[in-house]
Amino acid sequence: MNGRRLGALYGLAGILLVLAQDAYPAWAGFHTWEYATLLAIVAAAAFSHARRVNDLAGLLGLLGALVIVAAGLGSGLLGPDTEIVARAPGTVAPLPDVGAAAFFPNADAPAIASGAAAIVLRRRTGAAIDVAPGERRFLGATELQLVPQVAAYIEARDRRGEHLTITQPTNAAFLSPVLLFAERVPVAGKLLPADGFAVPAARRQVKAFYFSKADSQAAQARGMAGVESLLFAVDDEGGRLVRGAIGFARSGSTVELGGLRLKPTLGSYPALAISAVPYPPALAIGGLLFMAGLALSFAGGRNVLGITPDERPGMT
Amino acid sequence: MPRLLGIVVAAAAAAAIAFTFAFYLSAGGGPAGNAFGGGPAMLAGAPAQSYAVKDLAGRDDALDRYRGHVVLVNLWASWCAPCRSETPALEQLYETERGKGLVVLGIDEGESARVAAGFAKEMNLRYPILVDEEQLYGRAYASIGLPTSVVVGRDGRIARGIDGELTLAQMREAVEPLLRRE
Repeated sequence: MNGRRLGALYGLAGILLVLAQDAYPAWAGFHTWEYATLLAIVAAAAFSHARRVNDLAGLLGLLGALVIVAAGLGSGLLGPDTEIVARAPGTVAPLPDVGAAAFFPNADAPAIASGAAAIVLRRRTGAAIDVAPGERRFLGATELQLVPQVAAYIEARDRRGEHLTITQPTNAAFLSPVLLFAERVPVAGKLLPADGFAVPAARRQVKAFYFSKADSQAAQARGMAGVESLLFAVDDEGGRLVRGAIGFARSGSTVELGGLRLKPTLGSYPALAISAVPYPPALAIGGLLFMAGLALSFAGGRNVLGITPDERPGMT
Repeated sequence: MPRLLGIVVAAAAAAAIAFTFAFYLSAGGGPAGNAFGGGPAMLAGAPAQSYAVKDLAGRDDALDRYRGHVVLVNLWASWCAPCRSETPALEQLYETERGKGLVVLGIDEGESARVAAGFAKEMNLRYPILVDEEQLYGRAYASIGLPTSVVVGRDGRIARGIDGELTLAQMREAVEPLLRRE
């Protein structure tokens, strides 16, 4: 294999390594020294071969590859790890480094059940950006994506059926009836998503543990095996479990515990995943240079891969 | 000529590389950090969110129906002792300032209409009361406790967000600058 072909292959390898950041932006490995070292080695190898290239086509191709590798090193070394921003429905999260604020939409029980909520990013300059489930949005060197997280909308009533206020005293969203299960606690030998809320009018504090279908199957929960459900435990004001006030409720059903009628609706609510990606204009410039090198080499009967027209398969 | 072109291309590539690194350095490392300032005070200047809920008579109502007035939104619940304690001052403020364009809008957070109506009757309230069973306003106004008061200007923007019980003097201080503006 000649020097030009090796240089081009190293350049191509560098480009693919960088484009992988766009394909899998959440992978933490892109922000490690190992990945940066690998990119640097590939870039150095490509550059050492570039010194021996004395035609414009090869120069263009290799410089394009170097620009892309530089963008990849930039986002890998200087860009932060992927950050998951989870907020309660109806709240706003400022994202100063993105120059935007993320508006988490209010969600009622049907919205939690469907899990179809979209987050809106509003910027000081520029149009608002909707990020819907399954979509990817780019903002500068940032990629935005939604990550569905287990959520439950809780409705609490007293024995007469009167609706009761739900509060989350330890949560930034004090008046949210939506549980987002940020904690993991050991229950029956498994780590389960857990959350809690208070019902001040009834002087009750409620702990809620999420059981997926597999978890409830494994726990052999009575009447709930294989059913997605919540396990409620109702405490009094002093934090003591109210006698007999522990039980399961499946989504959409009501359970009466400790003087409360609790009805959970299970589903999901999105968190916003913010990942660093290679700066798109740098990728575009590098890509254009690389493609220009390829085009020029073919037009001139030479190519950066070192394959002459006579050597191409099927050509004589 | 090809040599000149090569120099130009090399310079462009070097500039692109430098620009890429400068971009990340100037951005402070990209999208890190995400401070969430707590409480309703941080809402000053933001457009006031409005949600359709019911009034005590079961009719549709919402904050944006009062656009053009200065609105003192008061989030409360019947079980909340400080809410109960500040209610007479809210009623007094409404009676004395309504002629100047002030609306006091009480929003019961999370309770049934029957409970809210019982409270309004007990406290002899004449200002409008909305019933927000899903606690939509409480979430949108970053309430960190009850009561929470939010002053909305005639333009529909939030002038102030205040956590906790207010005296009549504090209420006046919050709304009077807006009432003086036409």
